[in-house]
Amino acid sequence: MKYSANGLYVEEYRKCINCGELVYDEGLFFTDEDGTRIGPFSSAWDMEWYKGREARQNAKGPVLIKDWRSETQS
Amino acid sequence: MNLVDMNIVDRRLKSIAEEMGIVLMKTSYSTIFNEGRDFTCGVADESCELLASADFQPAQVGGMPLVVSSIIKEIPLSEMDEGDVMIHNDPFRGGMHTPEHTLIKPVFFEGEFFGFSVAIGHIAEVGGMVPGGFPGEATEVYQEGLRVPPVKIQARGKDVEPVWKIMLANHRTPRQNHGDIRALISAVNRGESRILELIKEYGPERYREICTDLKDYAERRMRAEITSIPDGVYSFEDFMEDDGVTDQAYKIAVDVYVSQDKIVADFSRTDNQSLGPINAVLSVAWSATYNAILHLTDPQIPRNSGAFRPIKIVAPPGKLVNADFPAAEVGGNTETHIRICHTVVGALAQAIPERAFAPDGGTHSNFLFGATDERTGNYAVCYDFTGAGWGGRPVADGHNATNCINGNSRMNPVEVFETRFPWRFESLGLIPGSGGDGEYRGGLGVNKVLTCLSDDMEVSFMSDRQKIAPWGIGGGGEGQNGSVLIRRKSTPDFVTACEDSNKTSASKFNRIGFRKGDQISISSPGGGGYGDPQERSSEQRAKDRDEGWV
Repeated sequence: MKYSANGLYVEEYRKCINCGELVYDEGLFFTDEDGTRIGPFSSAWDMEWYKGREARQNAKGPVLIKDWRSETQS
Repeated sequence: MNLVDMNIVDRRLKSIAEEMGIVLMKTSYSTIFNEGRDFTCGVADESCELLASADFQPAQVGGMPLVVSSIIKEIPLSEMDEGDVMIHNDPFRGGMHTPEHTLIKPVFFEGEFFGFSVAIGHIAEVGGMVPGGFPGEATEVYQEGLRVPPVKIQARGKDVEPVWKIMLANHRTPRQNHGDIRALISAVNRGESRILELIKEYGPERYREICTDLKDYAERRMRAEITSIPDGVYSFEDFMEDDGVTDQAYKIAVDVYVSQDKIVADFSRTDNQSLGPINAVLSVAWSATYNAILHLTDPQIPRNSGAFRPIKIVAPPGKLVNADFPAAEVGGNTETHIRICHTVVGALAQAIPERAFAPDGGTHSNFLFGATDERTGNYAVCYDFTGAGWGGRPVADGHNATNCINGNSRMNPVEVFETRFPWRFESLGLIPGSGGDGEYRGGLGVNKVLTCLSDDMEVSFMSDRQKIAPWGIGGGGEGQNGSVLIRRKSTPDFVTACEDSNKTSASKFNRIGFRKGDQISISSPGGGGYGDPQERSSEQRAKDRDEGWV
């Protein structure tokens, strides 16, 4: 979330591009192979899940899921 | 962990939430509260986690932690005092939809902060482009009513008058809304006093320990339930049939990943957000997913934030399940919630068919109107809904005429409705044969026909399931679609809103004028059937016929 300098209104509703939660701080980003900055993410788990889309689609059998609890924003 | 103390505190917290709801119901002015019970009350701890909620509105339970934490992001604890009450309805800052107002009151025991008393209620009139707050043709949130960011409505027990004045100046029914907001405040006040009694009884430290145990216990119970579901990826899709503005259907797609004791519900394949007002916001996606999983797991698991910890929801921005500001969104919480919830059930039905059930009618048939009541001279606004058929289950037929899966609300009694509003009931009854066939039949929808008794009546509608029927499960048949039809006093036939008023959608429309003698016929859909119809016994079929269910 980006608030105005006077704090009276919202300038940008900023969300994690994976889980969709509002991001109140800068958030996390990564740079892809083309040099594009991708984000924001609310946690390392979200970043990993986002990066793993293709691998999951091609996976045969169940997908092992890492725990997200210690990584999500409070 | 002392299981006895933990269970007692769990039940006490739940009864506190129930008592808050009863206070709210008995002191409110609008029928949406005192008859419909479209509210939820709960208790949150100091980290904004839900400790307990009452069995009122499932639509509001799963999103409660998100909406409470979003308030704290904007009004930090350091700025809260004893006696403060905060109000908030902004769907793009953690709220559910514009009419849903969340009130929270911090609980301080001997100066120390212990959490919040929380009441969330659907205010029936919030301004915007139609009376009743459900503009079926809205294309941006500004048209759907006044957005209230997290602000104090009471500070140290006294009204913050400018907030009241701004809000009530933007509502069509300020007297009713004033009464309803006071009722919400009464609810959080009652919650605060009961929580304080509980803390005093157990002592601050012990109370905290028990609450921590309670959440951890709920988490363990939910993890054990998830572990019993076979690992895998289960996918399902369903549709909203249109958005009120265009004739386009919108897909809701979910991939549910079950891995050991965790679930990820990933909605990335869902269609992008709509132009019209069927968009869900994030708290709706959360509530709907939790709602589905709570329906499929042991109902004895305490419904607190601990039970939600093993569930992760992926709802990327800009999708129908997490629309971006300033999208129109009022139908997301009532209509799209149902579809999201049953899409998750449909996915997990592949893994645990013995626990799954067919979908309900999938719409609340939200009927909104405003008019001058000649009997009183007052301008009356109402948000009314109609129960639908529920889906067949592995052990029984679906319920008839029951508010859909996110509602748990009640229909207005005829006598109350006719007393409060300028309409006359011509008929009200179940629709035989509207439930889907199956080993266990879907429940029946409802038809009601009303005659208008005012010359300045304006009717709006927000529903779905008029084109795409509720599906069956395990070979069960589809439920029957619903409808909304209009008959003018001077014409013999009922017609759709498209035919009567050139509307794009027959299920979602704004402000159609009615005069005395005009009629509306509202039919809610039936539920889907469960299991192969061949498995339904001949005795049961004879009973269905003899008792008029089909």
